[in-house]
Amino acid sequence: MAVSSAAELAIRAVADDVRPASEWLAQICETHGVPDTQILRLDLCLNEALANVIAHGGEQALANPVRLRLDVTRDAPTQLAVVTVCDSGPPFDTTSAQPGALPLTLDDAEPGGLGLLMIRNLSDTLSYGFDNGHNELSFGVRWADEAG
Amino acid sequence: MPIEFQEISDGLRRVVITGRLDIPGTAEIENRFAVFSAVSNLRVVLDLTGVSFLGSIGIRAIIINAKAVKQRGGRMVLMVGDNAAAAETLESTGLGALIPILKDNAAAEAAALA
Repeated sequence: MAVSSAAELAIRAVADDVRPASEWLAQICETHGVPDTQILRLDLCLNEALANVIAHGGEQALANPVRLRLDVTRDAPTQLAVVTVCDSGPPFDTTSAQPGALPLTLDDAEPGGLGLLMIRNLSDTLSYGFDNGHNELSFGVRWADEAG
Repeated sequence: MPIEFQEISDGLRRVVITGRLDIPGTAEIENRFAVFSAVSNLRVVLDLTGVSFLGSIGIRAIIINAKAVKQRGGRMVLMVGDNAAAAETLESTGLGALIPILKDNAAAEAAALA
């Protein structure tokens, strides 16, 4: 039988609120027994998602709160923690956007465009929806439930 | 200090970054990182063993400065030690194909001087 719990936080779409969001995530995850390695993966994805909102969300995204939600579901033998980032920017489907090709040499490397790649590489689940004027990006990580 | 450097020998420098390379953390060190890398024919071991969080913005700063070092005739290598999380992030984003990533300090210094 699955047991779920959730927590929510609203932040501004500004760089100064990114680290408090990380601290909130870490604190809530620890409360729910999420392992450190999985917290780091979620934190990296959250930072990339928020960086994307701040850099590309436009006036609408910057003028409205970004809502964060953490859902932790225990369904032995695995557990799942999912973060949902809800912003007011124009529709942008992270799950279908194509990351740029990896450069072959340092001279060819462009400094940027790695955020999408990181979110995809670090998450076990990834979904996107656009509802009532809001992007809703969800990324999750799984781990084994040691208690069975 | 989240960033500092040590002269290992003439032309070989170790730049040590610690803490979180997230948006505010990278903003805090990026100017000094650029200054520490802006020397002709410099060989740099970038020590990331104390980096607890490496986001894409931190990787962006590494790429910018590695390119700057190379354009000045030098070479940058990355030393991660036992920092498996940083190593995994660097490899997963393809940076390992562009900049040598080493666990061992002596090997990193040798690679920087190669």
